[in-house]
Amino acid sequence: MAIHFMSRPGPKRRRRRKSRFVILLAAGAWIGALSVLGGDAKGPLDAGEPAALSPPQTPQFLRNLTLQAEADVLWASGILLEEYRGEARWEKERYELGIQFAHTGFDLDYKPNIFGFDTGLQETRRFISGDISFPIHNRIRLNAAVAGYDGFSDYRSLWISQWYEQLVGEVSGYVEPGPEGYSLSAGLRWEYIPLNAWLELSAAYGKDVIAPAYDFTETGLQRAEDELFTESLNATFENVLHSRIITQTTLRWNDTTNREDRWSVANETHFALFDRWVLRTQIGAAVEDPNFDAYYYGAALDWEFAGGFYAGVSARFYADTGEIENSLGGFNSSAPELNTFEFGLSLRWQGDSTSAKLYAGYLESDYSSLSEDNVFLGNLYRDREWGVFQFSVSHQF
Amino acid sequence: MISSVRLDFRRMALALGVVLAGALCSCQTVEVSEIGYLQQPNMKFEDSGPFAYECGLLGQIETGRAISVGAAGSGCNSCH
Repeated sequence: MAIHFMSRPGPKRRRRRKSRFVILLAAGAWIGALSVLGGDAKGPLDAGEPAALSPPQTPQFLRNLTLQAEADVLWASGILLEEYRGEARWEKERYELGIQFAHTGFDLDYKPNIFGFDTGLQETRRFISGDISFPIHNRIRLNAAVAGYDGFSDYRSLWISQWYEQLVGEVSGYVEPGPEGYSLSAGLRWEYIPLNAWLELSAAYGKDVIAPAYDFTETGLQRAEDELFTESLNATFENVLHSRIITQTTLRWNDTTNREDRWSVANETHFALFDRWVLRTQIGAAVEDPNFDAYYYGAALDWEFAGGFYAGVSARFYADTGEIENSLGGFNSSAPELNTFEFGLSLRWQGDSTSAKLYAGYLESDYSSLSEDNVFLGNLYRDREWGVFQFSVSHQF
Repeated sequence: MISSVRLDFRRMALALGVVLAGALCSCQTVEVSEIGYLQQPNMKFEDSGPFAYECGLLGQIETGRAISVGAAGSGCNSCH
C-alpha cells in the first residue's frame, strides 16, 4: 500500500532554484556578450573600404577563439530536465585546445507505486572537460581529453536512489549517495586520403561512483558495489562517397564493471540533394549480453530558404529490449522494453562567423509492462509524452 | 501509441555492415574544386553547436543510443 505525504520545499530546494536562475542569467549574459563583441558585423569591409586599411576588429586575446553556448530542455508530466553547456575553443599554429562545462538540472515529482511517499526531487549535475589536439604528421593529429562530473548522471538514477532512501534510509548501513566520476581518453585522427577519407581511433577509461542498490540479508543491510569502471575503444570512419555524399560510421566497444561487453555501431550519411536541400540519415544499433539489443534510425531534411537560413524537419525512431537486470536479489530497477518516436522542427542560421539554432520537438516514450519484481517503479517507467527544446549559439572570433 | 517492434539485431548488423563496407571500399576521390557541397554547414558531422542534430539529454531515456564515455552513459546505474 502506498503511503503518501505532501512534499515540502526546504531551504536546500530554494537554493537550487536560485542556482539555476544564476546559471540562466550567466548563459544569457554570455550570449549577449557574443553579440556585442563579435556579431556578424564586418566593419569597414562592409562599407567597401580596401581590406588593407581595415583595422583589426578583434582584440588579440580573442583571436582564433570560438565560444559556444547551448541549452537543452526535455520535459514531461512531473519531469523537467535542463542542460546548459558552454565551450571555448582556441586554435593556434595547428594546435587546438578546448574547455567545456555543463550544468544539468533534474526536477522530478517523485510518486512511488508501492512503498514510500510523494516528494519533489531537485538535483544538479556539474560537468567539466578539457581536450587538446596537435599534429604529429601533416595528415595525423593526436588528441587527448579529460572529463569529470559531480551529481546524478540521469533522472532515473535519482528516482531509484530516492526509492532506496525511503525504503532503507533509516536502517544501519545506509550511506548517503555521492555520485561522481571522471574519464580519460586519447586517440588519433588520420586523413588517409586527402580531403576524402579519415579514420579516428580512440581509447577511453572512466570511473563512476554511483548511488548503489540495497538489499536485506540475514546479516543486515547489503550495499551493492558503488564504483564502476569502464574501458572503451572507438573507431570512426568518415568517407566522401561523391561530391554530394559524405558518410560517417562509428564502431564502439564498452566494458563496464559487472556487465558484459557492449558493442555499438552507428552510421550517419549526408546527401546534398539539390543546391538548397540537404538530407541527413542516421542508423545505429547496440548489443550487450545477456539480453540487451537496441536499434534506431532517423532522418532530417534541411532547406536553405534564404542566404544562411535553414529550416528543417526531422523524425527518429528508437527501440530496445530493456536494460540488463543484474540487481541484488529481490529488487529489479532496470527499465523494460522501450520504443520512442521523435518529430521536430528546426531553424538554423549560419553567418560569416556566428551561427545559431532553435529546435522544438515532440517525443513519445512507450515502455512495455513491468514485471512483479519492478512494478514498484511503475511511475518511473510509464509511457510519457515529452517536449524537447534546444537553443544554441556559436561565435568564432 | 507506438507499436511494439520485434528487434532483429542480426538483420540490422548486416545492413550496417553493408554500409560500412560501402564506405570503406567506394571512396571516390573528390577534387578541391568539387567539394563545395560538402563544405555546407549542415553537411558536416558536429557533436555540439548549432549544426549538431542530437539533443544532449536523449541519452537519459534512450540508453542504447548513448555513446558517451563511462558507465553513466550506458545503462542503469542503480541496477547493480
